[in-house]
Amino acid sequence: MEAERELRGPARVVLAVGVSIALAAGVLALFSQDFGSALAQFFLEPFSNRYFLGNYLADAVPLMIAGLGVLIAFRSKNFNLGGEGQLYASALAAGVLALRLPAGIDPLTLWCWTALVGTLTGAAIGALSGLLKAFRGVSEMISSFLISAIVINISDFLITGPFQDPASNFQTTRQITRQFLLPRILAPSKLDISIGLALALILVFMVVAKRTRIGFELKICGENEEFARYCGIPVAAYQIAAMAVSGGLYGLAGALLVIGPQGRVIRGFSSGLGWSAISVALLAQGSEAGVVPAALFIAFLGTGSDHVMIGSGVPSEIISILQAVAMFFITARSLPRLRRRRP
Amino acid sequence: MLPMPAVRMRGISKRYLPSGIHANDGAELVVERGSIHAVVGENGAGKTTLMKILAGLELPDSGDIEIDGKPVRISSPAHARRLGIGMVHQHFLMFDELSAAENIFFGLEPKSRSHILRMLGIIDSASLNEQTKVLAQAYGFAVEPSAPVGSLSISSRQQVEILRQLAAKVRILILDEPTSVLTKQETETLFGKLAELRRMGRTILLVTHKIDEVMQIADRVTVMRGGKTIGTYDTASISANELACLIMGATSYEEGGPHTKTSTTGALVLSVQDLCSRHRHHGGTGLSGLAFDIHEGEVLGICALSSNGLDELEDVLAGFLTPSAGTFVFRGHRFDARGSHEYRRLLKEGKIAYLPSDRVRRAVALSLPVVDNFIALDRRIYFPRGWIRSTLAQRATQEAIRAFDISARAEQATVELSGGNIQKLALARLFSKKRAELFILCEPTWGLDIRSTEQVYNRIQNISDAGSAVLLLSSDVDEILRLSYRIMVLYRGKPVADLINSGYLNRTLIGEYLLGIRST
Repeated sequence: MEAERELRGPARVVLAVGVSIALAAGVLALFSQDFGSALAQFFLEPFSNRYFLGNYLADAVPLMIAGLGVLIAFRSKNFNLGGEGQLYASALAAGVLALRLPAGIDPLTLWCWTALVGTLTGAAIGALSGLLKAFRGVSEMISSFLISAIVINISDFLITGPFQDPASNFQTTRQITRQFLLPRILAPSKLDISIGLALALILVFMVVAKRTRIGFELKICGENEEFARYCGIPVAAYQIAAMAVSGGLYGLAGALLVIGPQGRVIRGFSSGLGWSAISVALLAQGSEAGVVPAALFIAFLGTGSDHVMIGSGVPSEIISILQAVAMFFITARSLPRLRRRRP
Repeated sequence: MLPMPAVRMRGISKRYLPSGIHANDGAELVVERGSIHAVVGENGAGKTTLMKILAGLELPDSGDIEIDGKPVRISSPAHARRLGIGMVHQHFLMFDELSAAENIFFGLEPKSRSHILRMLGIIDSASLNEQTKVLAQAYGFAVEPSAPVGSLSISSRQQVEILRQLAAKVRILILDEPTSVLTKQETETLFGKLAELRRMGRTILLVTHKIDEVMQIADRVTVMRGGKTIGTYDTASISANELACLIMGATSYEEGGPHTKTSTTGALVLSVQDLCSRHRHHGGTGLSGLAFDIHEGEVLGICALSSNGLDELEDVLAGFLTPSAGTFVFRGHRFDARGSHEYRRLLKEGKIAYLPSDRVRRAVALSLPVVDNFIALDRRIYFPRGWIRSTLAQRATQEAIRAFDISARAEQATVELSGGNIQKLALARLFSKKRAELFILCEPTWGLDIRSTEQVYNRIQNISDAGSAVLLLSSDVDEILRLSYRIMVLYRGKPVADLINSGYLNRTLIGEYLLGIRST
């Protein structure tokens, strides 16, 4: 029985991934004119050339960073549902800063400042939910979601109002000049050097979790809060910190998109990234290293569906069903855990 | 021909993966119908696992089970219940917010009289209460049907659990260490009920550590050691001493004498003055005007019946509950007990060592490995400059496992350990580090077998001899009498006795203070 339980986690992920891929094929068979070419567009095209591959990987980068943040919050049993707002507002803050900095500034300095401001904006919004939980007992799930809803509307207003690009017909800020965007790799695709930062961050967080006192104390807070208090761990501080880190990584992901692939902040900038990052964290099964394949998989579902939409006219909304199915299979895993018998 | 036994278990083996530890290794058990049958053994002997297998909570790897002579494979607790087997757990599994009647009939709610209500699945609470009353009367239990279970005392909650089994027409009732949470008086009441149930033809299986209780109530006793059955004996034909030797696998056994230290003690360590607090949970009592001093080398025992303020005192001293008034003086430093920041620092720095009474909820994180739980309190040592010293942590944990005879491995998940072994782990953690100036030990031998209890008593005496002050919070009067130099009794949150333990004190006298019949 114990052995079954050990196998269950990974097996469930494989099952979830397998079922969503099978379902993707099924959906294509139903909705596409030419099943064979749709299949190829979905599964093969993203890898078929340098341009497609680069774009696909670029989509995975923000998912890795934001997913890592969600994972850290999960570990302390905090659920950050405010990713959409945190990412959007941080991107806006970072974008406005990048546009306001003097034109003669060194690009590296600009990148550091925008990344920092983006991170801090997200962290501040996340920490707010942490503070409310620690001192007022407000569920962080509800507060982060509601705060995010407010922040999204404020950001919409700012983009369409004070920061609107007067020369554009779109609801967007001005474009950041080319020299201030992150250097591309695999050009002409939109993949830039931020992928290195994402992988480095994952490595750092892995080491922190496994080898340091902070990682250990965070784990104890998540496993048993009363025990953490007995150990003299400042539980409230960890709650706030976990939410701040989670918000901060969402913020960083947003800032990197602005000075990377996007180059400006368009209305509705986050476009579901906040939610996809939660899928990534769930799929990663509590392991930092798992964030990389999880982000690649979630990004693949998105990219593949884009290719099919362009190539065969299957609406990409259909594909988002697949993401939902994958989520169902993964989250079902937490049920047997709750039922685990105690001595 | 002998009558058919109610339970026959043969060659039962159960191995917990991935640790590979054998909880049961070819265990045997034969229980006569209509008898009280005790199952005894040291911590980790496999008693609870064997009972869980019988109650359908665990599946054995191998072995046969016969109930009333019919071979069965008990696949789930529901299946066990259909076979007439029910188990009352050490940690009660109940809904605190629901009434006693709702808990008793949960899953077997009587049908509403009205057809429509029955269709809607609405429970007729009046008839539920009535049926509870009838059931309680039939077995001579005194339970208020409409009271929320969370507000009941531990012994009443236990009665609710037993009634729950009886309501489900259980014929074979398993009780896992039922007296560990009860006081002497409550234990007597429980045993009265068990004898009554035996008279009505029920079969009772009693898992326990306490030999005197086995001799008092059980007809037969099965001794287990290392997952195997050592033998089954008539209690009439075996002495308590022989039984103790069988349990431990030793040839002779001698119980330690009482703590006879009466010499004057050292400097004042902690003085608690005018401590008042609200109650911690529903049905508890707040503290009012509690005061005591504790000196170097002194063991101060504080005892109380459940819901008389002992839980609240523990929580205040542990920094979990902010009192409404009071002053602490620790080594000459005076501070307000309400702003217990400085006091908490004493706990954090290890000047005060505290052992929680609730080991599962407060003393460990069950899902983490043993080693993580072992090092969790001493992060300063195991994470110098913030980085873990894994080899040191492993070595220290393995040493503690050896020294305290814990049946576990360092990497094993703590959830797989028996209750007694978790308690040993929590004790090992406190005793393995630099000796604290004050030890606050709450129910330190809860769930421990005789040998481990003796070891703990010896350790407590050693730290006290070495000059630490020991504050012992316990509902076990024998333990208090055995270890304490001074004894304090709380009744409804107030101290009713503060006595020197110098020979004239006995269980009966303390019992009168506990019940509030007598006060100084």
